[in-house]
Amino acid sequence: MVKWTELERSTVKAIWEKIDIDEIGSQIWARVLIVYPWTERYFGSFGDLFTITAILKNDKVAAHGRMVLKALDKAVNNMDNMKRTYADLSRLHFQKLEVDPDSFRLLADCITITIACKFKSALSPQSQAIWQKFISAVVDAMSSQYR
Amino acid sequence: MVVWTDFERTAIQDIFSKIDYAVVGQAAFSRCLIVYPWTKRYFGGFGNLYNAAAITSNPRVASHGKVIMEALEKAVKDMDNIKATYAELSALHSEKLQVDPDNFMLLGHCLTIVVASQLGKAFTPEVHAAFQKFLAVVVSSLRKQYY
Repeated sequence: MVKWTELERSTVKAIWEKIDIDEIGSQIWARVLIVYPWTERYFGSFGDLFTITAILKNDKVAAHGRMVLKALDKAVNNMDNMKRTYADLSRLHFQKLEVDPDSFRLLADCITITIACKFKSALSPQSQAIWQKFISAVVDAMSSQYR
Repeated sequence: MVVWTDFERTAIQDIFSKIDYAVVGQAAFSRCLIVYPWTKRYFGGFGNLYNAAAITSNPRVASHGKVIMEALEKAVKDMDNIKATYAELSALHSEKLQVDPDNFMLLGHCLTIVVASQLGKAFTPEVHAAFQKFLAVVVSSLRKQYY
C-alpha cells in the first residue's frame, strides 16, 4: 500500500481543487491523441480524428477527457485505497477494452503537462514530485488487474 | 533519417529562441533531481543535494542545467544531423559516465514540464507533439553509442 505524508495529501488535494474538470479534461485527451497518435486506435467510434484541428474540435474527445478526470476524482478521495477503487475500471480496460497499460503512463504525462501549462510556476518542483507520485500510484492501480 | 515538417522545425526553433537557457536549464535539471531522486547518484561531486531547497539553490546544478541546454541547442541548430551531433556525447555518457539511458527521458519529461509552464497556452498539443518528437530523437541519438 502506498504511504502518504500529510504534506503529500494536502498538496494533491490543493492541486486537484484548482483544476477545472471541464477545461482541463477536454485538453488532456486531445493531447494524448495528438502527441501519441497510435492511441487513436482505441477510439474508432469517435468520428473525425484525422487532423489536429478535428481532434481539437471533437466533442467526443472533450467529453471523454472530462470523464477520465471525473474518475481521477475517486483517486484523490481514496488515496489509501486506489487499487480497490480502480479494480473494476482496471478489469474493464484489460478484458473488454484491451488497452495497452503503457497508455496509462502516456495519459498521466499529458495530464501533468496540461496542469503545468495552466499552473505555470505554481507547479513547483516539490509539487511536481508529489503529483508524480500520486499519478504513478493511479497508473499502478489501473494496471493492477492486468495479468 | 528523421523527417521534420516545417511546422516542427519552426516550433522547435521558436521554443529555443524564447527560453532563457540558464533559467530553464536550472529549473529542468533541479526538477529531475527532485522528482526522480535516484538521478542524484550521478552527481556525487555536486555538494549538497539533500533536499529540494538545497538542490534548487545549488550553483553546480544551475550551471550544469545551462550546459545541458547549450548541448540541446546544437541539436536545434542542426536538426537533420542529430545522431552525428551527439555521437561523442553518447559515447561519453555510456563509457565514462555510465549513465542508465532510461534517465534521458526523465530529464526530457522535466524539461517538457518547465517549457510548458513557461509557454502556458502557447504550448499547444501540436507544439507539444513537435517537442516530444524532438526529445525522442535526442534521446535516441544519445542512446546510439550504448552497446
